Amino acid sequence: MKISLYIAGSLILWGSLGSSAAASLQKLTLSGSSTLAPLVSEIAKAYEKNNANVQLDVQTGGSSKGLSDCRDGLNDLGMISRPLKPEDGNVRAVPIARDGIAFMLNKTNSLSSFTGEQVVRIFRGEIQNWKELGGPDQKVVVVNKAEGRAALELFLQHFKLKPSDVKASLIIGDEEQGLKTIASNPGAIGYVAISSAELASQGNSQVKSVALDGAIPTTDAVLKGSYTLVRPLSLVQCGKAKPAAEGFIQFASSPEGQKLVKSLNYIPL
Amino acid sequence: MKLGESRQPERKMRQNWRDRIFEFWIDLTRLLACGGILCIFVFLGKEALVFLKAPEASQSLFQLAWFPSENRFGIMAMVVGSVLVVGLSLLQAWPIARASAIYLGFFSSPRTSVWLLGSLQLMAAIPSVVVGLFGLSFLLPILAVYFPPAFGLLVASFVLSFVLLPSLIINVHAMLVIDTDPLLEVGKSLGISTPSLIRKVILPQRRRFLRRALILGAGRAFGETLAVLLVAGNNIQLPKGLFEPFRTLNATIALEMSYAQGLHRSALFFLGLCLLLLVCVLRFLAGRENA
Repeated sequence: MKISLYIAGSLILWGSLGSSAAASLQKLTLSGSSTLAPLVSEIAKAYEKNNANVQLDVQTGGSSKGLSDCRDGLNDLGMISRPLKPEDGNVRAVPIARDGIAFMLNKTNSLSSFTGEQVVRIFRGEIQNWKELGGPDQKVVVVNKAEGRAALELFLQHFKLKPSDVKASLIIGDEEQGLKTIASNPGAIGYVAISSAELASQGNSQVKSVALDGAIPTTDAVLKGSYTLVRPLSLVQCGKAKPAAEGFIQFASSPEGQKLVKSLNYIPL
Repeated sequence: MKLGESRQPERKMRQNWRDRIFEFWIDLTRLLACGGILCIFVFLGKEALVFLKAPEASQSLFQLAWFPSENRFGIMAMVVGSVLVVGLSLLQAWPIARASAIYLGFFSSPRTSVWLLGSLQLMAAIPSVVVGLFGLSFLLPILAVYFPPAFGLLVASFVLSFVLLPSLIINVHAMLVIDTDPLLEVGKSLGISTPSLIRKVILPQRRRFLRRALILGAGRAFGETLAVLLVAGNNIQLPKGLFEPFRTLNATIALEMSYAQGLHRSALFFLGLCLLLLVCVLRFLAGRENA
């Protein structure tokens, strides 16, 4: 008796949920860059809260998938983590955030600035001791990011390197692990997202960020345009946009959306 | 069904519904356990097949270089890394575990044994990542002064043996002390000293039980991901020394899964399958005599 009551009850419950939800739901599909996906998912949650009749589905697959899906009409918005190229054709890209990376050293290292060329030589393994750059007599320990991480992709793109060019001694996953690794190794050099670098440089931590070509990596420097190791993260849209998609783009660029961008450690526009 | 027939006379005696439910429950759990393992194999195999069918896989599988974005998927360095770190950690943990278990079983007073076993159980409950963090923020900075960057086999195997030890001691102790009271009494009445009784009678008699405990430990060691990941350095290469970074199979899955797509992703599933096969090989190497 009891069991059948349960079954009947749950059937009625699910049925009513289904029918009420089906009434006026607008579905938006977003696909593309895995760098942007966590941010867009968060913004989507906030947007759904404000607009009960819109449901967003965020899928990853890389920037190029985001673009090709967009052209084929498979998504409503694409997510890309690189600037548009001329050959991308007639698509509209709206930047919603930026991300950048900063190079980090152990605090005991006396060096505080590198040129881009020095960075390339260090990561290629051509500089084995910090002495060669006027630093302490200490072995260079190159800390690189694991395959597939967005920061690695940006680093390789910026310095025009292949993954196998980098002669790393240590590989790390997330930022926290990276900072701990650099902190425990006097000769270490690595890179993390600018926001994490700013957080870590405060207080009495064992790491410090270094200037690249004379520019100190801070959010302010990115906003002023003096630090260039950054890339735009954009939503792309092809053809005629659904009103809900237009609304989502506006929400992401609004102060409320940008606050989320900041809280998730991306750099706002 | 065969089992049911052989139990027939006993069954008639106490064939009430509680027993039936109990037996059904046992059968169900057995089915779930077997089915679960089968499902893991099928699922991993299905995902890994996509990778194995790709031409990139067969070209680079048995090489050392792992650069998924350049379509190079060499797994050998990671297999060697996994096997080496497990071997080294057991080399450190096993003698200690055996000695501690013998002490707990035959030499310490019952009161001390209870206390020590209790604290061991507490230690076994320490999350392994905490041990890894201890290695990362305490051991490594000290060693990095002398052997930069210090990440690598030695620290990783030490951390791993630390993770393994409590449960290993508890297991070995359990295998050693079951039903040894009569043996001890007979030995004493014959005037044999406890040490030689342990060396000549109990240890040889319990050899295959001990081996089972060792295999259990090794299986756990292969599965340990985070503690090793934190201190291994994770550079994919054949380690040439004790202070050379290396990467285990599970570390690659943990580091790359959240960002992997397409072929890279199925390659990671293939790594999972390799790990599973490694543990299966281990199980069969241990022999079947204790079945």
